[in-house]
Amino acid sequence: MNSQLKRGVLELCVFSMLYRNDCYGYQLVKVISDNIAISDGTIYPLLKRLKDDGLVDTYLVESGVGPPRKFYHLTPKGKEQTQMELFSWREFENGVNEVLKAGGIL
Amino acid sequence: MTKREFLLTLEKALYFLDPAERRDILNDYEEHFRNELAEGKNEYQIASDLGNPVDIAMQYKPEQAPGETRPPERIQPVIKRQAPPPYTPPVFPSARTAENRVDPFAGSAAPAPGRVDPFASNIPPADNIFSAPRDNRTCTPTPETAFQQAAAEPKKRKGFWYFVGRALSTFLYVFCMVFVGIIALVLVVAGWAVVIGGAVAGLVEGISAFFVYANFGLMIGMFLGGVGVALLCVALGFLMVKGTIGLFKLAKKIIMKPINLLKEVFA
Repeated sequence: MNSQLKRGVLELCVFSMLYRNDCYGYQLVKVISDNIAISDGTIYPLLKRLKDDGLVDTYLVESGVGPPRKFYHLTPKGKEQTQMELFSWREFENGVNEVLKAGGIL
Repeated sequence: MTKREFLLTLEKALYFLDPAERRDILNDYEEHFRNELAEGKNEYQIASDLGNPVDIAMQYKPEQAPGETRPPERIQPVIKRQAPPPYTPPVFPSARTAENRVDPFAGSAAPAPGRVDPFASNIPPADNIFSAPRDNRTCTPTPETAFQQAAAEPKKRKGFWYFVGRALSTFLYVFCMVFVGIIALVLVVAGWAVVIGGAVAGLVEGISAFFVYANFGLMIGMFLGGVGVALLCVALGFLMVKGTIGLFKLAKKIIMKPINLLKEVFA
């Protein structure tokens, strides 16, 4: 898949995971890489970039075992971005479907 | 790659960040390893699922402005030893037939008018791309490569001057090689004379020692000496055989050269 497109889609996946609940990094990686063929190492740099852009926040939560876990939380700016990306995803999806219909395989 | 190797490589490759940030990122991966290990994966598997640490580090680089180019990064991974990943037998997909195929577009909209739905079961098998025999598909044959075309063309008759040139060069080759061969042959014959002569003389000397000398000590001494010389000569002969195999091969090649040319002329 085109890397630029993939990055946008992954971003949307992360946003959707964080939209209702806060998650820690490993949870995000598990859910996304179980469903999409990407290497696990792709998500962490993405999270870092989102944090640098102010779309997500992090906070630490003490866990029973080992060091505290880093949880990710969507900021208001991130929620806004989610809506925008969801919209452009729908648009893209519909566009592709239309093309597939025109080609006669859908 | 072990966990340690992965983290060391990543740390090295994140040189462009300040230490606090780097520590933070490494903590993320350490936690990832911890979680995965708790799920029963091994370190090598986790590292390979994460991907190349150098590539990962590059994703932490600040975005570069369009048009700006950087020299390629040269960071050697920190790897001490490589463990083979656990063997998992490959799972081959079963051949797709009209019976076991899964319709990926089940429930999707009907095809545009004028198009044949390849998944519809009511179309005759000859028109169905899944059940039609292979020969019925329209395929354009791949064009022959220049090499195949050249191989397919009948060989041209070779001209008179070609054979004159070949004969002359063959004559020169054979003449020179025979000249060298004569010298080599003389050396080899001389070598064999030394080897055989030495071996026979040593044996005769060793055996005759029993009949010639009355002194027991002298007798045994001469016997051992003689046999020793014989063995030495045999060893020398062995080395000579090893050394002259190439010479015999060359001789065969020289003999075959005019024979091959004659075969070509009369073929």
